Amino acid sequence: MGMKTPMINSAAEKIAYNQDLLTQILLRLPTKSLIKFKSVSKLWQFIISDPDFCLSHTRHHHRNGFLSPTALLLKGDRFSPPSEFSIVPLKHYSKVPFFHYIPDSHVKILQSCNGLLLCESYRQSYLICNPTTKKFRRIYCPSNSAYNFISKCFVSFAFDPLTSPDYRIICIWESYREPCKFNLDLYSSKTGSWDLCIVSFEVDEDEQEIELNNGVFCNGRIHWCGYGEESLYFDVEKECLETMPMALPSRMDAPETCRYFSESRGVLYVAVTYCMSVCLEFDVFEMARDYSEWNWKKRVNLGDAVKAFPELELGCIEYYPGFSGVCIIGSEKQEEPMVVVWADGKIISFDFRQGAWKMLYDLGPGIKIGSLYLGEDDHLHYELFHAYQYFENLSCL
Amino acid sequence: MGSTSTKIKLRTSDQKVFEVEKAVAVQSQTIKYIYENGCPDSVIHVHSVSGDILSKILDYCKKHVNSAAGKEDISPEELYEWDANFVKVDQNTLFDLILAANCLKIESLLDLTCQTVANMIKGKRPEEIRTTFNIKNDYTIEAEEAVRRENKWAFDMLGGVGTMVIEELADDTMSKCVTNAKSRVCVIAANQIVMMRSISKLANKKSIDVYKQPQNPTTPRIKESVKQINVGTGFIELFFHFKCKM
Repeated sequence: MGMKTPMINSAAEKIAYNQDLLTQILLRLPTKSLIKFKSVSKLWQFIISDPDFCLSHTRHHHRNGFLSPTALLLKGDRFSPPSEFSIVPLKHYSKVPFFHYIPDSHVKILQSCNGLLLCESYRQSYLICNPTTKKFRRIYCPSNSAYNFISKCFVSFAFDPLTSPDYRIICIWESYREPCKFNLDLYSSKTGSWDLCIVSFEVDEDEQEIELNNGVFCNGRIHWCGYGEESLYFDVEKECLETMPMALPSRMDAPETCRYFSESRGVLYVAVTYCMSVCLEFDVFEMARDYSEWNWKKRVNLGDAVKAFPELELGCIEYYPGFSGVCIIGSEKQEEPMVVVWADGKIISFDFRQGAWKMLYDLGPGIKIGSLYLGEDDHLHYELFHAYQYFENLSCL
Repeated sequence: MGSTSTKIKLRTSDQKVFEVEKAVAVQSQTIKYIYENGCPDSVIHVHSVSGDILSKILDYCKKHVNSAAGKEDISPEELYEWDANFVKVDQNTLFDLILAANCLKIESLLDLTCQTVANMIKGKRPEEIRTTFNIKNDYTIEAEEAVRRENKWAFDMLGGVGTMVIEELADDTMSKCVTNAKSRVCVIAANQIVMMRSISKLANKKSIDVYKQPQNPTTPRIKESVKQINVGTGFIELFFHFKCKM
């Protein structure tokens, strides 16, 4: 543009002018640093926002074929942070931008998958967003219209940047006109379009009790937890629905309260809590690699946590235990996962290999995570917490 | 006439000549290509690399060739340590190494040096990056402000409502933190809660105590003292001397 080429003297300058070399350095930087460095110059912003770079960067930062989460986002059935996420940091401390960049007033997280979040907003619109880059895309489910007399609609999504930059959204719906018959629509971000009713299936809800509102994606499949004999999973590549066993070997002489369904590094886990007057134990089951059966992994006892952290008040209140939000995530340094539990306002974790409880996140004496949003008459023990994994990442939508 | 004793001659930009074993020299894909496609007895010119840098690079190549061939009894951990020490050089040398590793196409060295530079710059502010690489800021004032505002969360000094965040404090440094928190101040350093106070209580004090809460609750809390507090309208500034002992 008519400018004199500047004399490039130092090696540093030569590197900065060599886009290939600069990219090599940028690829190795953590996501948070890259977000900061968008302000360095327009060229840096251009490189850091380029979809090919973003994909390469995400793929550069995996650990043994899996991405590792930066933090957990906490949400309760009743407690929903109005303006800020309730974060449990797993690596460094990081703020997670809330949904202020989305013009909708109430955005509810439905699922988290390898860096992207699926959220629900008003008027049956769904959002795929990446909180790190503050980008989002609005999706409508075409079947979810007044003409279809939809009685139920469940949305899940599949995203694995290590395999493909594209994501798929699954909409499962039931119409009043044909109860117990469910239809599955599939959206591809590559084509930007829906394939409608690619699968239809019948489920006797009373028998199977499948939680279609809580999809867990791993191994190229979206899985749903059930409380009956069998449940379902959808193979995204083959575009077909399969069944998987859901019967758990019975380990406790008490009815189940809740099944917390999660995955870590390609293995499905379910943590089961029980309804008892005093119950500080829960069981963790692991799905066999060939999906043939669930195997009991461990009876986790929170009584040991109370010994380690005497200030925790985990006693039940009216059969509600003082813990919830059980989530199983991969631990940084080893193959064995760890169990993360919200316990009386603190976040504690149980390390399977060492068999020990650790304090994962504590906001200070007397301060209980989750208490800020409860009313005066509510007790934290009544709340059921969910944890969503958050990955700082540059994935483009 | 074993090929293991074949030597290759290399001439650098400052006219220094190095004679190296072929196995070491062909760690560089560039040299390998020139050697295999040119006249094996002639001297290979490495125009853009100086003698000092080439000397270091040849040390690296020799170490890695010997360790791979089993000539040196060195474990992977020890080699990793050696690599870590290898890159403990001044910034200019590090950048020269990157340029040379790129030009000579030595992938493992390029990976090592780029990762080292990445680790070095990751905590810096954008202004410091511009200084390091002599980059001109081509944003307009408004554009730069917009980008910064959008990505404010990634800049650690200012947390959200109720939090001040300090990361990676060095020992014995004076630290300044500013917050516009509304009701509660929570200082977090290296993932540990350091202090929790409400602003209104802080306003009346001349100095406050900073407690570092250790992982193990039976260890006594470590107390530091805040040197100075300035309370402005809606914000406070804390100056404190923080000793980070883990």
